[in-house]
Amino acid sequence: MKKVLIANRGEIAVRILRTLRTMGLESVVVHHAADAASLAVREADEAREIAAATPVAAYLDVAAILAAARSSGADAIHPGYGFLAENADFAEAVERAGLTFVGPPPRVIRLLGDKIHARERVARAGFPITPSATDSSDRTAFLRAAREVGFPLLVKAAAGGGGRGMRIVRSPDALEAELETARREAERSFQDGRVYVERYVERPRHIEVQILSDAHGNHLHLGERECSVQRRFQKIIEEAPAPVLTAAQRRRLCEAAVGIARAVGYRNAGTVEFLFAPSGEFYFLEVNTRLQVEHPVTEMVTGIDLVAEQLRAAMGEPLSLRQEDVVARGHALEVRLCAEDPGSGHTPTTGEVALLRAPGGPGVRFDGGLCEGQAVTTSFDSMLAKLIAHGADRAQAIARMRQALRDLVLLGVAHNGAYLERVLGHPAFASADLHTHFLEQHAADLALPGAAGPDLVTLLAAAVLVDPSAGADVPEPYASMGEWRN
Amino acid sequence: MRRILRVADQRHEVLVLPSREGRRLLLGRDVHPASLRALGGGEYRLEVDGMAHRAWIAVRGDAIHVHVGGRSWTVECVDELAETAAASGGASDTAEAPMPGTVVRVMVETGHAVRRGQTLVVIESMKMETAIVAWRDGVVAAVHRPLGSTFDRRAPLVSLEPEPSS
Repeated sequence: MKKVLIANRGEIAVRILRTLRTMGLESVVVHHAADAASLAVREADEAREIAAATPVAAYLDVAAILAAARSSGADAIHPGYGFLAENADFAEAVERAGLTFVGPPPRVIRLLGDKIHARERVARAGFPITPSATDSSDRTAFLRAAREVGFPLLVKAAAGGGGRGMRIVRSPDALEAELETARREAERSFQDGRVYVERYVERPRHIEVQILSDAHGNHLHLGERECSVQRRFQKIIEEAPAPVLTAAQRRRLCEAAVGIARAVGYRNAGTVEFLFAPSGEFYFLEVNTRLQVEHPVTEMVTGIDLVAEQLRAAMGEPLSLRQEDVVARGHALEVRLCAEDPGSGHTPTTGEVALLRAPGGPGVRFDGGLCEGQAVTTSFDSMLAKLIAHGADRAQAIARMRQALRDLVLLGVAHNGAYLERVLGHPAFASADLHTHFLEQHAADLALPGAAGPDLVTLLAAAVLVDPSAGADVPEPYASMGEWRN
Repeated sequence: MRRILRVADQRHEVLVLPSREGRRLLLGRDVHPASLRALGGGEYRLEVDGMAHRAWIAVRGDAIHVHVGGRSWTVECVDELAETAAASGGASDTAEAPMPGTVVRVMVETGHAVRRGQTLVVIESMKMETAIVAWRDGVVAAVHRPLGSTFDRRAPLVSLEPEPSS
């Protein structure tokens, strides 16, 4: 492997580029014209534009991406996350083209990508899953089975994952309509309308385990991450290690993840997601067959470069580590900075990155793909960048993250930075009393106060004085007042 | 000179007065001595009521983006004339986008009679579908965005014929 094409954009493309450079590998990025001035395009050794009807379509155009790989002489493709990262057909096309896909083999992606089959396989291997019912051509039978699962329940898309296509249904009356909507959304989003329902666990924690496997049958885990702070099933704050697990619970969870990796013949880096119930029981959710958005918290506590390990595994090298070499030190947090307005229901915002000053200091890492002048549109996901903070313990990591969020200057597009800082400052976050509806439970406390008092005066002063003409044409009687005092 | 500024839908009037050092701001009945010095790269030293702050400011059109006190804000400069015109206009016959997104379904056409609560278009934003429903009975005057088109917040989506005055 000498030259790697990155079939992605934004912060993850930049993140992968950094490892390619340290490993002495050449890089190519593909991009839509909308991203021509992006940081990833600037930092890559080469960039190939892909023409497409919409910006997203460019990053999903398998034929164009393979053509770019051929013409640039790349011998491997890293898909990042999202887009084609969990598309088995893409992975297969990459291999057929004689290139290395940096990820698991197509058959593993296909098996685990079908959430229904994955659950069946995991249950067969003896690991716990939540009670569930699977869609079938007999709609009446499915409805009956779904009602037997009990309410509230979750409707999920077979081809979904990562929180996409999920609905919570609390009453039997709403079930049929919600199933219909879920099927339609699934059909439109994944071209696969199959859905399934599973028992909804109240106040669950979302805990996942990073796995790493090579082509020689070696499987290990890099510890767990807790990602319970979510909005609409999208993770917002992630941390490693999970703060409340006992040593025995941690061992059981991590061993289950490695067992699942072994059962499916996993290769490369992946994540096994679990629901962790208040009772201490855990249930398998799904396997994400790619690098996760939140992988940096694992990197911060273990000191392992996950992208480097992915590349080594893809080259067919045996893992450079044994399980006992993986030691977690301290605590790490990640927050997702998103273009959204916390003051108006977290609706997405648009704009232009007018000013960007990334924070620094001990243990602080900023993973962004942003540069000044860049337009932020709704063409792509609303995530702008990630902030990661590491500390000797959780309290220090929180303190560093809160300061980093206050230090971050990102102007021109409204974002959730101040909101995240408020979440981290909440006593229930400090005591790690987390579950996946944490943000709803504490919504009243977490609402951002508006500018008032001296802060408002300071803000208005900045806004009016930045115009140098302000005060130059003062109307009477004020102009005559001179040094008037109150 | 008088400035009308809006911060998160709160309207503020500020009068800027000259002084020997810096400026003075008149806000309500209070006067605040203030000065602002550019340090380069969008960074400023701001002094208000004798307190010094580090601030970063970027101006884009009518929007003044400010980072001060560990938090980012957007202050909107309000044009007094436009404000007066908007206030004298009648009630809107148009549904505006509550957030930026994409039109994923169009359920009505121009000329269609619709009942209050009937879905007009469905938009997708943040991986979620939102139905834009008729806010009263009426006749569709225009569907402003075709299927598949993207739009920003407050973009007009569907208009109804003005209500006949009774």
